Amino acid sequence: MDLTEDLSARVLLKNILSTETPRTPITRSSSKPVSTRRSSRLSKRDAGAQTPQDILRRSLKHKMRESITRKSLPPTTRRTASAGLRNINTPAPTSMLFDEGETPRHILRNILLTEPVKSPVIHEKAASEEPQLISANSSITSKRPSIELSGLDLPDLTLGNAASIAKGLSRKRPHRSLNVTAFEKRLKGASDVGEESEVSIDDHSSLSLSSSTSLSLKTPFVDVRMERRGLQRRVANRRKVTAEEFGAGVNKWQMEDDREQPEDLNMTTYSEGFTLGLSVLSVPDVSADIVNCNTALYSEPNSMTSSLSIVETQDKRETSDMEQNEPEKEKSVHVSPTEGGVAVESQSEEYVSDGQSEKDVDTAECQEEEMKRTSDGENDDEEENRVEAQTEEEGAADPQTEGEEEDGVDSQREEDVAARSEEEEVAPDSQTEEEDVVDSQPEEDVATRSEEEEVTPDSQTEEEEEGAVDSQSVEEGDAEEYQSDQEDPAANSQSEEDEHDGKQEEEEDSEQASELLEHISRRAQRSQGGLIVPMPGAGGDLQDATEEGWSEDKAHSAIKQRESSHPHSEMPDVAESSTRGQNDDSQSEAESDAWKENPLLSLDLMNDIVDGDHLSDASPEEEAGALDTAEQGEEWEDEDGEENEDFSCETPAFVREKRNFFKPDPLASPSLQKNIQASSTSGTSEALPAAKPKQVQRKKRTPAKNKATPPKSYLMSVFRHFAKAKVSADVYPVLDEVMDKFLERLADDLETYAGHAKRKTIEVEDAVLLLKRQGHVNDKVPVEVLIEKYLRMEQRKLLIPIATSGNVVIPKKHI
Amino acid sequence: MLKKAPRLKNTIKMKAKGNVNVRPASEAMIELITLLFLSSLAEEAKANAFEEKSATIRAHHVKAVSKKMLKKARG
Repeated sequence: MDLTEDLSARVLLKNILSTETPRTPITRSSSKPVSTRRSSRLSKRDAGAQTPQDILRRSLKHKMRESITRKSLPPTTRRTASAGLRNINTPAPTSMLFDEGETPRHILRNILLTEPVKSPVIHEKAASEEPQLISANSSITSKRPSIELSGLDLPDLTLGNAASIAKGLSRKRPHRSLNVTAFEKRLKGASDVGEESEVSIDDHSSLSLSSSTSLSLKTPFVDVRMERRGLQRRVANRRKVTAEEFGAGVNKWQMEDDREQPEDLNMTTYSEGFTLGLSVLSVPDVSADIVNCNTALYSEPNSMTSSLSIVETQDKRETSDMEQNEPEKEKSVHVSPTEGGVAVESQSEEYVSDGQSEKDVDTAECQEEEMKRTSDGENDDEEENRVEAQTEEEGAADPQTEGEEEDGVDSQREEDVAARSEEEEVAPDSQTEEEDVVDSQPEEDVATRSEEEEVTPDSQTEEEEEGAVDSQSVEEGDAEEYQSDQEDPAANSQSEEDEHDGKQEEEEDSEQASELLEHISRRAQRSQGGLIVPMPGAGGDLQDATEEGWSEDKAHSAIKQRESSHPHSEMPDVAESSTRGQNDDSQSEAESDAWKENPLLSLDLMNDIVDGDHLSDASPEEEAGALDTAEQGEEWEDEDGEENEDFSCETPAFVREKRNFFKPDPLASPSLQKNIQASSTSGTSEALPAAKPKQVQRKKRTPAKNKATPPKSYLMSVFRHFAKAKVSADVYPVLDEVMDKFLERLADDLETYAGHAKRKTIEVEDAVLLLKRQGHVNDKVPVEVLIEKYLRMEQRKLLIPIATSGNVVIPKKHI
Repeated sequence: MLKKAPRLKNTIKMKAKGNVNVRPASEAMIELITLLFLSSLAEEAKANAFEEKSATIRAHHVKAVSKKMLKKARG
């Protein structure tokens, strides 16, 4: 039928106009009654004469209209539709009633008359014209043409709107976007007849409105797009950016860039200004020393590397949170009993407060990092590292331990002393090329250093806040000593010993902490030679039990240093050192281990120093601890003292190795420090009396449980591999935390699954179940795929049976 | 993946409350699980870093995604 075929709105409209009388059931004007009357009359007629065609036409039209009318002017349109339907059959003359342009009929007529016949595709023009010409009613009519399309183009609506919105930028083919927009406008304002005025005015606003309504879903996309502007590779064709959006995005981007830049700058400035800042910040006396030391360090090739490392470290340090400090601290500090740890922290706090300590900490930190970075086998680095570590620990301690104080001071002192002694020992052992060198005053330095070391243990309790000049001087002397020591380890050691004895008592009161810090920094700078000097001295003159312990440690450390340094992972060493933190012995061991490894040096230093401090602090306060340490120290002394004096001895190293042996095993994580601290009190008490190996084992276990994450190297390498992007090293602490929690939950889940199966062994099926629950394995991804993707061959062999010739299957299944 | 996860078995044993044994095969599976977790974590962190228009992954990127990843990796 014609009607069925000609369902285009236009055609229908024409039909309507042609067939219907110019009467409309509802008009804004007073013609309503007439129209209603007419419609009633007409309706009667309609009922009578209903040909199939008419019926069909009417039904079609009715549907069309109703759909339209429902959306827009419900009351009026419906009536009109109904009226229209009724009037379909009546061949009413098409009277052009222009007097009431609001009626749909009139609007439609206007449209038809005014607008050229257009294909649906070219609705843009029509749309553009429509808003101008059409009032609210016309919008209704326009809806008709667009209705058919709108239903089909719903998905395009948004696009159309977008295109229409971004007219300037849209490159789309002209869709009936405007029609749609107009349609939408009508939808919005259809109910209000009075929106006609708005239509014309808000061509754009309506567009925006419609876009907003239609694109409401898309707004987030826009924002995202804005955010990702810099990273977006392909601009979405659909959504063109308006000038405003673009500007906003650019600004955003710039701001972000700016944000990043300053960070980088800060980092660089930090590193650069670090050495400078140190000189500026530090108290004249102390700072001068440090500054001098620093400068001396930098001037030399070793210093260059160290400076570089310092810079790096500084960057890291500066930017890193306390978290970094904490882990570093953990690593480096051999946390002795909790008190010790506290003392260390408190000490560190104190040190920091002094100002001198700050510098020291900074320098120490830098140095530490440097130490870590620099190649192995550089004693200087080791020293520096340790110094840095110590200082860092002290600095880090501040935030960490605010409550605890003074207990750790002594231990810190001790640690520091021990560290120093160790450094000295290391220096002679491995006199590396770099030697900061200060050939002048080898013996004097040694003496001062020994003094300082000794002083620290002695005056740990007292000094904390004294940043006395004495210490400075002593430190200076020590620094020099260290330098000279490198060159003449043997001589220095001897002289230092003598000097140590004499000077210990003199400078007990001086702020050992600050001294220690300074020493650390200096030591780092100097060659390792200085280490030896203090060690023997310290060993000989230890007045307190702790001191003795230190000396022992020093001796031990020195010995160890002398031994070849094998490359251990930082973690194991740190862990070792951390465990030892509780005891002097441990300290020395850690130190020695650390010395063996340059990177660990700093840590060890820190640990040692901290440990020493801790120990020193703890000793006065905890007699038991002190005694224990003393005992241990004595033991060590006996063993190592002789050896030390002989000089690089295999025996002490030998003994140490034994201990070290234990340490690496249990120490899984670098953050054993924390563990150690936590269990320090208990651990120390336990460990001290026990034999060395036992002590070592105990210490290691307790901390190990707390944080047994994979080693740093492994974690970082895997993370980098998977990230496929640059990874800054400061992610490590966070990563460690995350891994810790993850492994904890993993173990828990696996255990639960095995327990559910009434097994005591975690099986492959438990792990597979876990994978399924996590969503990694599903119907689409079998386990084998993952296995093949991620695991190495030997592991794969375990999991996936491989059939080989001779009817042999690997792995062998036991039936 | 390039090297063996050192001491993974020990850490799992430590963290496990009860007494459990770990087979070599299951140890390999545990390693697989951790690798999967790390890779997804790294991916998310990378995406997060890109969101902030940074080519390098920094600590705060990782921190931001870690909570979500941990929740996802529950069993």
